[in-house]
Amino acid sequence: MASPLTMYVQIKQDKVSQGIAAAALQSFTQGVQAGLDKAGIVHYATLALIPNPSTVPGKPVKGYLAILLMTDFDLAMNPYLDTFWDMGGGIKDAIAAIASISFNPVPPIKTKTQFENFINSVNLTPAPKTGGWKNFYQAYPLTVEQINAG
Amino acid sequence: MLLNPNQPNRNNVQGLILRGYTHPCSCHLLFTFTGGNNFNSKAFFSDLYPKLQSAADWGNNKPASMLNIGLTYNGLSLLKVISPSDLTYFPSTFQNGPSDPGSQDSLGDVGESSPEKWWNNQGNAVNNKLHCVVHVYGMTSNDLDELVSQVTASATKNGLVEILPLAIKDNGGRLYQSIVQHDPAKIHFGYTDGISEPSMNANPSGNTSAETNNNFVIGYPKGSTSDPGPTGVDTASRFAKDGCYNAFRIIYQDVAAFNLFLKQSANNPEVKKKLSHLNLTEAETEEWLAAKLCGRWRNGSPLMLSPDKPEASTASAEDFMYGSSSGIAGADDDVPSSLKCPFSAHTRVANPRDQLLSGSEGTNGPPRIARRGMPYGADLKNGATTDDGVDRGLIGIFLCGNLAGQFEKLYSWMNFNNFSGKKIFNPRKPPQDALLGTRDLHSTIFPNITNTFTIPVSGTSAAESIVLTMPSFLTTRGTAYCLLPSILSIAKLAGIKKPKLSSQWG
Ligand code: HEM
Repeated sequence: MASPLTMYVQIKQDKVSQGIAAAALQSFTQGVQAGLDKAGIVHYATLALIPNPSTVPGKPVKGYLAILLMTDFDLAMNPYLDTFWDMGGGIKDAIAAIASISFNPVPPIKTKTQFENFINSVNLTPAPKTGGWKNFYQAYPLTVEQINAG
Repeated sequence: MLLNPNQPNRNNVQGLILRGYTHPCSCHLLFTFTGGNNFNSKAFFSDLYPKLQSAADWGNNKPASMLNIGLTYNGLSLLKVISPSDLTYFPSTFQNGPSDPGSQDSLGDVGESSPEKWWNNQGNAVNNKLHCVVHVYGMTSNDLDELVSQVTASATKNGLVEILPLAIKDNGGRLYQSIVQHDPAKIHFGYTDGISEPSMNANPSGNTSAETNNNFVIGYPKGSTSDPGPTGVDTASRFAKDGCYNAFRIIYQDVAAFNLFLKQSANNPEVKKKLSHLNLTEAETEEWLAAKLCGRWRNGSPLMLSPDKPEASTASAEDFMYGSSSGIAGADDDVPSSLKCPFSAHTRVANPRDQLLSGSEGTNGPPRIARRGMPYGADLKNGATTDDGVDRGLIGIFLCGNLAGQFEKLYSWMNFNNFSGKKIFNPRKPPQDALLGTRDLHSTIFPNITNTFTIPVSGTSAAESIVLTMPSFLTTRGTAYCLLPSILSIAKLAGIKKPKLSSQWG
């Protein structure tokens, strides 16, 4: 069983923050590819931008309300956040960039503790307190490594 | 007090963190801050403070009795020394505690081990209100009893309520250290423990290492691979500095089942056939199997240095590797060593040393933890294969600076041996630690694990190996994540205005 991680972060509306969000979307795959390939425990990772809500029905609105990172990875999340931090580069940078444009102030992420706490604080899909998952479906129970082993 | 920014002052660090004690008697008392009358934490900590032991060298004045103190996150939250907003700077793993599903994804406590059954079936009623653990040590049982009485009297006077983690029939429900086989170094199952530990050397130059004390003591991030936290300028970080986390885990050991397993396996025709060239007696085969499960013979000799029999000369040896000494180049250099020490042997999983790790494990090498535990519960009659109903096992004190990256990481490895992309580990059916795995074949957390343990004998293929089906020998009786705060932080809790602290660096 993999763990889902759904990071939802409301972002600032200023031009620079909005620009960082748009740029993050464009460079996301390229930035995380090498690290995620090496880790071999992530089933997929998607970054999406949530548009600002319309105020007038049917009238498009400019800019983004929030950034959403959805991923699904093998085994326990706690220890592997640590490993992602150790690997440095793309994944760490992507999370730090998201934190830097958060609407709710987040201290700059400089330590493992801050990294772990930030991710957990914005995760919309923490492991359920009781019973199994009620909001997560998985077609297969295998790990990425098990799938790749054929 | 002098300040040295690069290494902890041993006078300010609780003793059990940087040094292993050899006091033969100890008792580990659990308390809640709620439910009593007139809770007065200041008076309680002030009563205990004179006996609080630091890590400073005690020279010839070994204390007859002493204590150390741990606080859970829930406990800390009630003490009002850290502002509520700053409390959130503690690592979320510590905040949520070990029964949280996020931690259970690594610890894998199910069935009789599940958090609802911890603490003698008191479960979450205790998980949520366990606030403080006092570790009391004595040179004699009288020394111990005297200090235990002082601590419990102060607790009662100051509105704390003692939590009994075991059934009353077992030592009054308290966690008293026991001596196994008349030898303080032994644990149940008959192994010698407390041999391989991280150096805990100071790391003033900030070289990267997993075993220096800045991977355990909070506040010295330079060069630390575990990066203990919090390390900001807030009240939580100031309180936590020079502290360390303790994963306090009580594990029942079914010694009769273990003995029976060894006996039955030694008489297994397949095992006998594959070991016939060794000409072992039944008792010797049992010892051979026990060594393979652990990676060390029961006297302590590591299989890597003494593959054929236990030797007094290697009984406390720590200096060996699994890969680099094989003479084989490349990623499989650590495979031949499995003929001596199987891949899933407990000590090889808990510290795979130079064994090649999978990409998902990063490049820092294996994390380390410091173990300060001891057995509880009386011995089972030597070699008995039927249980006598006595509760016995390990009072596990697993120290780390980062509960997720050290303790939980190793636990996830023990439950799912996927950390080293070896062909012998069929990734479709990964094995578990030979002593510690959950053996829960229907686990959704650890998918498709096998409950077999492979011991390479004449080669590493299945045909050349002994493959044993492993029962579970262990049940988790309870777990708490505690912060062992610095001496100055406990002085603050005790309301001591200007505590005297001399300096001893490193
Ligand atoms: C009842 C349960 C356990 C038993 C019977 C047990 C037994 C042992 C024994 C006999 C040794 C070898 C002696 C030594 O090197 O000091 C050892 C080493 C070790 N154990 Fe355990 N252990 C248990 C639980 C755990 C747990 C829960 C952990 C980790 C969270 C752990 C981590 C280690 C580590 C890190 C080593 C040292 C390995 C090395 O550096 O070579 N053990 N254990």
